[in-house]
Amino acid sequence: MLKKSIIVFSLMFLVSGCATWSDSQVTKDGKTVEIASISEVEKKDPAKIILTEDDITDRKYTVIGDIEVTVNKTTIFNADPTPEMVDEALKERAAEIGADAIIFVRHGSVGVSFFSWGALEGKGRAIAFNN
Amino acid sequence: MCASNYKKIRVYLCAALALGFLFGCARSAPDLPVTRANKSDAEILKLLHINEADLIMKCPELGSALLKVNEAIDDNELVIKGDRRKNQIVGYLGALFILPVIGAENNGEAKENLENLQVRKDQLYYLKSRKDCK
Repeated sequence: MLKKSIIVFSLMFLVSGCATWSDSQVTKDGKTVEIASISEVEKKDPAKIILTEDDITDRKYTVIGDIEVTVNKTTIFNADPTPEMVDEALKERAAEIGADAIIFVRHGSVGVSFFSWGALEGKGRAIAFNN
Repeated sequence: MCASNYKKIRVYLCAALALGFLFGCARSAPDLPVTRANKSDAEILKLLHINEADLIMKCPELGSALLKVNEAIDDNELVIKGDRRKNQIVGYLGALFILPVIGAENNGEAKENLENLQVRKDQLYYLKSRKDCK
């Protein structure tokens, strides 16, 4: 009995090492955008991606696609994901598809999902500025 | 012995699934507004359901309306966050002892409010950009 408990707790701590995991998808006009089709040169630095809840009206841009990410906590014992974590995930995804900014950023509310005890979703429209 | 273990696992799985449905479920992020590219102002106004009264609002009014919407969003999020703590505790107890989940909140009203507030926020942002408000 004691051995079993030790194994269970050890596994729990091992799994808790990864506090969160995320999944995402990018769509344009209802179709999935394939990340594999984006070349390394086109990819951007996530730290340089502009994030706004509003539209960008002072620069012309082209819409790359709509990004949807969900950050999930790994176990019931981990802390809930935050909007900041979702924003980071959005930026990473936007960088992968060569975007300069994400507009109309919005978040859901943390709660139980089918895959996690704590999930938080975020959405935004990835855009690239016209030169 | 094996059959009895299998039965126990099945009971735990069913209970876990039931808990998932009873606890506060995650609210999806609101849908993104329509793409404005290749659309006339009249089309966007129609798609965003902006009415005549909104059109006569001036920049300061739009700014204060947006402030109120943001405050209301924070209030509703606080309601959900407050109950989330309670739901988590119910979740721990439920997962460990398979107790009936009494008192778990789904915050349906707050979630619906947040959906409507985001729609209003999108309208206000468009009206602000239409009037070149700073």
